[in-house]
Amino acid sequence: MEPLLYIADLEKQVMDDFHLGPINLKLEPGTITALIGNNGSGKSTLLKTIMNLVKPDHGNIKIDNMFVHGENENWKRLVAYQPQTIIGWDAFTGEMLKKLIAPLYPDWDEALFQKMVELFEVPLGKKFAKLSQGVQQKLNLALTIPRNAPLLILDEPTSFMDIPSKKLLIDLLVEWMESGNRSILIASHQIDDIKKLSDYLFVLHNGKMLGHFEKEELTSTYARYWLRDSLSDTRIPGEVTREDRMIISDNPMETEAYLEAKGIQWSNRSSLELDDIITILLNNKKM
Amino acid sequence: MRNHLFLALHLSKPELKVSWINYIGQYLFYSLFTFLFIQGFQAQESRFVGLDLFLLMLFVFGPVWFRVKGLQLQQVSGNTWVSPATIMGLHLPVANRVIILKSIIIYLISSLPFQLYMLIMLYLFSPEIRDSMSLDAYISFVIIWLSFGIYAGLSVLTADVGTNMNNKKSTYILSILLIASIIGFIFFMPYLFTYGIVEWSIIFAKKWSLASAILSIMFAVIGLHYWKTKMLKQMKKTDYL
Amino acid sequence: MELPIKISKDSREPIYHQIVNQFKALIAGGHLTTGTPLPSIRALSKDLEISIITTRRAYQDLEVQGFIQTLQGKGTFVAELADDLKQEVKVSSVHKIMENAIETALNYDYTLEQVKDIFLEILHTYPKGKGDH
Repeated sequence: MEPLLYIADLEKQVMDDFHLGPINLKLEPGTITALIGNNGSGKSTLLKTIMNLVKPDHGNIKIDNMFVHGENENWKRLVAYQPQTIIGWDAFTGEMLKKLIAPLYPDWDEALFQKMVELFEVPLGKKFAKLSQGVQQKLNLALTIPRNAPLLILDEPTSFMDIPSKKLLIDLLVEWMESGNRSILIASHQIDDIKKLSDYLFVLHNGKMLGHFEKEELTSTYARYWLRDSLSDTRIPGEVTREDRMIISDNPMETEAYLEAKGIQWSNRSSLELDDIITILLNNKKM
Repeated sequence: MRNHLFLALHLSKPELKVSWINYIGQYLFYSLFTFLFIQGFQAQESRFVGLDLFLLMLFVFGPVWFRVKGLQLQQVSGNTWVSPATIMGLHLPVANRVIILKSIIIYLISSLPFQLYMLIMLYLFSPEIRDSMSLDAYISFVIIWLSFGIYAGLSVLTADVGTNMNNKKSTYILSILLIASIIGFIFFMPYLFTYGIVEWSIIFAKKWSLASAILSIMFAVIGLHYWKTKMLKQMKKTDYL
Repeated sequence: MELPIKISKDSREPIYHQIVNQFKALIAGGHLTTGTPLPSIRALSKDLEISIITTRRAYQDLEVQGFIQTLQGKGTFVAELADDLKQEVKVSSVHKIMENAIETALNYDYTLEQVKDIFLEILHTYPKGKGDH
């Protein structure tokens, strides 16, 4: 299948102190990818580069086979982007923004917009600047998702929202994905978004890409063992961290082969939660 | 092209909608300066010394002074300055040309009517101006200045489409020096070249009414194209971080 | 629709396999009758907190084996199941659970004779009426 979003060898130097890339990424229609990384890992910069708001030093980005930095700007209709901090809406009311945005998208779903405004209880007559951050995010979502663009890019869309609304959004997005040929790229620190929504995880650390993983592939790569006996100091194949008799491995096959060969028994083996895995991924790179 | 214009008008609608109260303020502001100019012209017995700077400012920056709070130029990240409306446009499915066209439309709507109003009032309420210029000459004078408002005024929009400042001290000092020398030049012009800019424009309007008007209009058309192209190039390389 | 499907991430059995087996049991056991609509791949993925890649694989397996069918544009439904297939699933899943139990017991160093005793004991104390048809 033709990727909806295609990024190859993307690199960008920002000021003197931050380098993004090289980034390679392909998004297939019908999938949800969570963009994960520590603070300052370059998630927003990456999303802005996809939107051609930041210009790459090197590499290519294509949306539905159109270069985003090319003369043809038709790709813009295929993306609905919700930035982390929205700029330019302060002076307007929700109603004005709706009238501005809706006619620009041929597949605008007015019913969905009305439903979201109602569910999230967003006042449309108030100026954007006068809304609380959580309500701003809700309005922003209500003005972004119904655009029904094939590629939905969300940059920490729920960071200020209450828990019920976060759950509601997950359900809305699941329903939104039913059409089959849409994709979501969502930068998020919310473990629920990652667990319930994502199919793939794209992990960034300080501008470097740590990997693009299928969720179960990632969880099956890690295992935790409780050993019957204490260990010598030598590092076991696959070992990531060790605490007394508990070790975590990112290569269970090798680890078990080694333990069996050495006659070391383990009393328990369990898989890791996704947040633990993410922590390991992001922490280990700091060393 | 027509489609671009249509989209640009669509984008300008909400901005115009929230700006009406500011336009009233701007109207009062221009009225105040009209009064000031009439008084100055009268007091100096048909000379315009010392007032050039104000008129120039009104024709270049006047249209952006009265922007709604949420639409003023802002620093969006470490070194990026841009109009929030540009950012909003960049997130929408419109070509960069449309965003530029929208900026120009808004600029012209917030400049031409007010400038024209001021120029008409000057002619109606200043006997000194009426005495020194025939109606033909004054129409030429009006065209000279409205055109100036386009080819010089649109330059302020290059800031709107976004700039990545290099935060070097030398750039900062250099731009301060440049502004200071321009102001100094305008201020001392009457002493260096007998007349100031406004007075020279009156002389041109009187002596070569038609030629100055045609030349000004040409400058305005060229200026419009020049700034459009410049803004487009600038948008291509600016990082909106 | 909430389905009584529980996956164990600690199990060595692949997740898609767990899903397939539990669906088979639900269908063969009559909990899901012919024509019952199933949740979409995306919705089930959300409920089970897994990727659609895994869910899709499970649904494909079930479809190939004739337990479910997908109607274009309408969704996925429980298929009409031949009685012998039902029977086969019943037998094999019950067998499998028993085998697992025996294996666990053997791991604890019980003899087969002891396992038999335990089994009979459990059967004996099993609440009356629950197993009657």
